[in-house]
Amino acid sequence: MSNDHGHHKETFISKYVFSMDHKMISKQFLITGIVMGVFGVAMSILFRLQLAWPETSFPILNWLFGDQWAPEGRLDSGFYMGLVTIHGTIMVFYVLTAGLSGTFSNLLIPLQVGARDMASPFMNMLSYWFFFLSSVVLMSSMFVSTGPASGGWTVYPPLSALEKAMPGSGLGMTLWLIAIILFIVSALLGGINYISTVLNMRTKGMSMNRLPLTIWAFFLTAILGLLAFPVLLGGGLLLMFDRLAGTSFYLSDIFLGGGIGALEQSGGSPILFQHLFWFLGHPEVYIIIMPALGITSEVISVNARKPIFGYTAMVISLIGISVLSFLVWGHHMFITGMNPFLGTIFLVMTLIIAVPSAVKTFNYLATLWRGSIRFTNGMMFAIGLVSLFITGGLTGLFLGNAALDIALHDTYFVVAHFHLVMGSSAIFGMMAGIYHWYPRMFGRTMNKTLGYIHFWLTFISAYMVFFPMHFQGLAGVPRRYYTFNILPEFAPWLDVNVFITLAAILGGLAQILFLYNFFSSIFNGEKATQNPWQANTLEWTAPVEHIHGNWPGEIPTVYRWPYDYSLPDADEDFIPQNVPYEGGEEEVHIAPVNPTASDAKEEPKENAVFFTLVKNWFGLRRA
Amino acid sequence: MKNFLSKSMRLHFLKAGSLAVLLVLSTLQSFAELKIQTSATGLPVSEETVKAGESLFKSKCASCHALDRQTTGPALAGVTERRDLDWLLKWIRNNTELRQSGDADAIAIYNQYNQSAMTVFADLSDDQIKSILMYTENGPLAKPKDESGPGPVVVDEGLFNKTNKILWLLGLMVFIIVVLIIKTLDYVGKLTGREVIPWNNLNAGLMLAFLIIGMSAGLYELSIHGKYALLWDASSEHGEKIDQMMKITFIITGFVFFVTQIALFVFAFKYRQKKGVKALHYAHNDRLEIVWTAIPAVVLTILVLGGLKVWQNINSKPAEGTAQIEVFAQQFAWTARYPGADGELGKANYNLISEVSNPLGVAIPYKAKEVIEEIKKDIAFYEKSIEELPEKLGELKSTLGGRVGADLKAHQKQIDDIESGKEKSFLELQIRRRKTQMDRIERSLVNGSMYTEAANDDIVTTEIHLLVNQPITMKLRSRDVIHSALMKEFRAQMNVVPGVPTQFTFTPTITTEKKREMLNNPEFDYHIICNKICGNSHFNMKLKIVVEDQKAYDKWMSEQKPTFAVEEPVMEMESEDTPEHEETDEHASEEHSGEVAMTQF
Repeated sequence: MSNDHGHHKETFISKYVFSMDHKMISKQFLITGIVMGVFGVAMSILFRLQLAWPETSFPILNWLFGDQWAPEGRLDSGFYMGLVTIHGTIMVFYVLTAGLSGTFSNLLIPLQVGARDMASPFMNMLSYWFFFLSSVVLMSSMFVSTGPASGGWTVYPPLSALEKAMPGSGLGMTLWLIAIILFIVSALLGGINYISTVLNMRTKGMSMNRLPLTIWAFFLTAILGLLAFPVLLGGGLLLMFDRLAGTSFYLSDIFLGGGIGALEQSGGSPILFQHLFWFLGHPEVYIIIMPALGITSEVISVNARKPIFGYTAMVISLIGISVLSFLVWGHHMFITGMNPFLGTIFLVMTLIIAVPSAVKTFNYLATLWRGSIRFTNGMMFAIGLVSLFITGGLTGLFLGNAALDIALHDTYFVVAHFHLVMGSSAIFGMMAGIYHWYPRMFGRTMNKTLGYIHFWLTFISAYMVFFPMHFQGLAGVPRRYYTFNILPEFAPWLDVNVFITLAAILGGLAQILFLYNFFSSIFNGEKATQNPWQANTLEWTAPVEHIHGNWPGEIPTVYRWPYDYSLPDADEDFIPQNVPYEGGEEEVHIAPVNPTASDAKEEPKENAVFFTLVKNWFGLRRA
Repeated sequence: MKNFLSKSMRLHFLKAGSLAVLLVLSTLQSFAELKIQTSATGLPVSEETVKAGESLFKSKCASCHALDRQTTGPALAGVTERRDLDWLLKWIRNNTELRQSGDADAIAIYNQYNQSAMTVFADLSDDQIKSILMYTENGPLAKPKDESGPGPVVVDEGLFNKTNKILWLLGLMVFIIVVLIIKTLDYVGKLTGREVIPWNNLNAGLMLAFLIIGMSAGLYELSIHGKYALLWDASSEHGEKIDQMMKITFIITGFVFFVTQIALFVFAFKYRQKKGVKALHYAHNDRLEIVWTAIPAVVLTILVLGGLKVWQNINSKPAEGTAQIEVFAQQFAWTARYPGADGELGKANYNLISEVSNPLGVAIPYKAKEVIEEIKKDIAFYEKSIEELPEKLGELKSTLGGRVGADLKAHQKQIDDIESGKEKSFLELQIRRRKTQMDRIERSLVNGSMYTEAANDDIVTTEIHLLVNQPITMKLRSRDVIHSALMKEFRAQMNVVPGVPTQFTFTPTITTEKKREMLNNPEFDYHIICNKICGNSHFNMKLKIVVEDQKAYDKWMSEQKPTFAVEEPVMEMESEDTPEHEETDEHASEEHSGEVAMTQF
C-alpha cells in the first residue's frame, strides 16, 4: 500500500503536524490530552491546598498566579472557583472525551475493523485541529484580567450569563463558550468519521457480530456524541446571545447589585439551560465511560486468556446504556425547580440504567473466573476500573433516587460519586488503553515496573481521595465551597480534607512517574514485538513500524470473532481473527459453551424465542 | 433628617437609637480589656459598642470580609487608619453611589477587586456603621483556638515549615531510591534472563492485600465518621422517611459492594497465571445473563417504588392554610418575610427592588413611588454622566502621568472605556433599563392588582423562627442568580431560581433546644446555607433557623413589627423636621429593650 503512495513525499509538516494518518492523529490526541490532563490534575491539587490549609500561605500559589489571584499566597475565592471550573471542564471534555475517545477511536477503529484509514482522513485532521484550537482558547482564558469562567463546569445562568454577577463571568466565560463550541465541532467531525468507518469500511468477514467490544463501544459513543453535542451547541449559542446580544432565553426577573439594578430581560428560564446542558451532560458521562469499558473488555479478555463473557449481553447492555442515557438527564435537576412529576419519571429511568451497568460488571467478573490472569500494566488498570466502577456506580443508586437526592444534591457525596464512576474509572480505562496499545502506537513498550508502581500509587490514592468524600457528603458538606467555616459542625472535616489533599498530592506525584515512563519510553523503551500480548484482534497483524495504509499488501480477511482464547483443542491459547477455520472447527462463540459438555447441546433449545429473535435482529447469530 | 431615608428606614433608625443610648451609658464601664482608648469613629470606646459591632459585622460583613486577611474583600483590621471616616460611612452605606459619583478611591477599589461590587447597606445607621468600625479597630486578630462558633478553625501550619520541608525532601528521596532499586532489579533480571521479582504472583498477592486492607480501612472510617452522616435524628417529618430509605439503600448497595469487590479481587488472586494451567474457554451462558439481569431489576424495582413513595409524599400539595414564609436570596445573604397577622404574603416584584428603600421589592404603592423617584434620579445622573464624558476624559488624561503598575492600568482602562464608547453604551444601557423598569412600575400601579393589602403587615426578618410540629411552606425567591436553600437537618433542599417560583414544605419536629440536648452541643443552630454556586462569596451565605414551641414563638412574634406599616404611630415622625437623634433614640429605647432592637436589623 505504501508503494501506491510512493510519489507522495511526506514532509515534516504533513507527517507530524497536519497529518491525515489516523495513527498519527491518535498520538496527537493522546499527547494533547495528556498535556491538558497535567493542567487539570495540577489545578485540582492547587485548589485542594486551599481546602486543606485554608489559613496557610503558599508562596507557590503567589508565584504561579500573582498578586491578583493569590495575594499573600492564598487563593482568591473567585479564582478558587475558576480553578474548580477549568479543572472540571478540562477533565470532562479535554482529557476524558477527546483524550480518551479521540485517541483510541482513532487508533483502533481502522486497525481493528481492517481499514486503511478513516472514512475521511481530512475531516479527521480537522477534528484534531479544532480540538487543539479549543484547548488553546480554554487555556488562554486563564490569562484574562477578570479570570477564567468560575461558575462551575455546568455554567448555569444567570450566574454565567451576567458579566457583573461574578468576575469570572466576564471575558473568561465568553472564551469558555468559544472553546466549548470549537470542541463540539471537533467532536462532531470525529464522530461522523468513526460511525461511517465502522459501518462502511470493515474488512471482508468482519461482520458486526465479529467486532471487538472496543469498536462497539467507540461506535455507540460516537452516535451518542453526534446526537447529544449539537444540543449543547444550541444551548451554548443561546447563552452567548443572552450574554452579548441582550436576549432573554435564560433570564427573567433579575435585579443585580453593584449599581446595575433591575434587568430588562424577562420571560426566560434558567431551567431551560439546565435541560439543554444535561441533555448533553448526561450522555456525556457515558461518552466518557463507554470507551473505557470497551477498552477494559478487550484488555481483560486478552490478559485473562479467556473470551469476554457474554459478548452478546455486553453489546446489548452497551446499546441499552446508550438509549437510556438520553432519558435520564433530569436526575441532575430533581430539586432545581423542575416539575416534581418529571422527577418521578427521571427517577425510574435512572435506576433502570443501573441494570445494564450491573450486567457489564457481572460479565467482567465472569470473564476473570477461571482465567489465567497475566498482570500486565494494562490488565491491572482494567481491574482497577472494574473496582472503581462498582464503588462509584453503587452510590448512583442514592443520587438517582429523587427523595435521597434532596439531602445529597450538590454535596461531596456527588463529588465522590462522579469522580469514582466516571472520573477515576475512565482515567483507569485510559491508562489501561495506553499501557496496552503503547507498543502499537510507538513500537516500544513502557517500563512495566514503573507501570506497577504507577498503578498501585494511583489506585490507592484514588480511593484515599474519593472514599472519605462519601462521608463528608452524607454529613451535608456542600461542594464548591472555598472554606468551611460557615458552620461549626463542618470543623471535623478539616482533618479529612488534609488527608484527602495529601492523598491527592501522592496521586499527582504518581502521575509524574507515568509521564516520565510515557515520554522516555517513546525513545528508550524496549522494542516491541508484533503481537506482544498474544491478542487476537487485527491491529496486531499490522507491522510494528507505522506505514501509511496500515498493512503492506492485502488487508487481512477476518474468519472468526476476536475472543478465541484458550480454545480446548488449539495448541496456542489464542487464535487471531484472520486465521481461517480448519476442517471440522466451528465458530463456537455463538453457541454457549459450558464447562460440562453435556449441557452445551441442550442449552440452545431452552433459550427463549425472544432472545433468539433479538440475536438474529442484531445479526449476532449466523444463519 | 436625610432625605434618602425612607419611612421604614426611619423605623430602623429608632431602633438604632436605642443602641446609641446604650453606648452613652456604657462609657461609664471600664474598658480595661479593650485595645484602644480612643476610636477614630469619634464615639466613646466601650465593650457594648464593640459587641454590637461584632454582631453586625458577623451578620453583614463576614460573608466577604475578615479582620486579619483578605477573603472576597480586603482585610478590615485598621481600616479606620487607612480611610477617612466620612468616606467610610458613605462607602459602606452605598458604595455604588459613591463610585458613580466619580470618587477615585471607590473606583480604584472596585477595579482592584476585579470589578465585583460590594453589597449596599443603605439600612445601616451612622452609629451602627461606627460600631462596626470600632469592632474592626478592636476585634481579635488572632482567633483563639477554643472559639466555638463559625470562626475559622486554626490548623497546624507547621506542615510547611523548615523541618517538614526536610521531611518532604527525604520522602521524595526515599521514593526515588525505591524507584532506582526496582529499576536495578529490572536490569539484573534482563541480564540474567529470569525475573528477579515474580511480578505476576506479587501483584496477585497485592490485589488480595488491597482488598483486605481497603475493606478494613473503609470499615474503620465508617466507625469514626459514620456518626456524622445525616442518617439519624432527622428534624423533620419527611426527613425520617428519607433516612429510612437511605438506610435501605445502604444495606442493599453495601451488600452488593462487598460481594462484587470480594469476587473481583479474589478472582484476580486465585486465577493468576500458573504454569500448566490453561484458562477455561467459557464464552457465555444465557441463563446466567438472565439471572443477573433479573435480580438487579427486581432489587431496583424495590428501590424505585420506595423512592417514588417518599418523593410523592414530599412533593404532595401542602394542605390548605399551611403557614407560609418567604425566603429571599441574593448575593450573598438570605432574608425572610413573614406574612404578618393576615397570614398572607404580599406580592413582590423584582422591578420594585431598590437596594436603598425596598430591598425585597415588596409591592406597596408608596414604596413603588419612592422607587420611581429613585429611578428618575438615576436616569438624571446617567444622562449627566454621558454629557460629562468628554470632560471626564480630559481630566483622566491630564492625571495619567506619574501613575505606575495596577493604578496606571486601571486608569488607562477608564480612558480606554470612554474612548472606545464602551462607557457611553453602558450608561445608555442603564438608562434604557431604568426606563423599562419605571415603565413597568407605572403600568403595575395603573393595573393595581399587584398591590394588595396583604403586604402592609408583612414582617421582614434576618432570622427564621418556626413552630415545632407545624407544617411550613417556604416560598423561595431569588433576586439575582440561582441559589439553593439547603437545610440539612430537615433533609430539605430546594433551588432558588430567579424567574421561577419554587417552594418546599416540611414539618420541623425537633426544637432547637431539644436538638442541642441531643447533640450535646449548646451552641448548635439550624441554618439555611447556600448550596448552588452563586458567586465569589457563595461559601459564606447562611441564615439562622430557630425551631421553638408555641410560647417562645409567640413571644418572638410579638416582638416583630410590620416592616412596611403606614399607620404605625412611630411613622408620624416622617415630617421633614425629624427630632434630633438622641431624643428619638431615648424614646425608642423606652419601648424596646436594646437587645431586641439589635435583632431587628
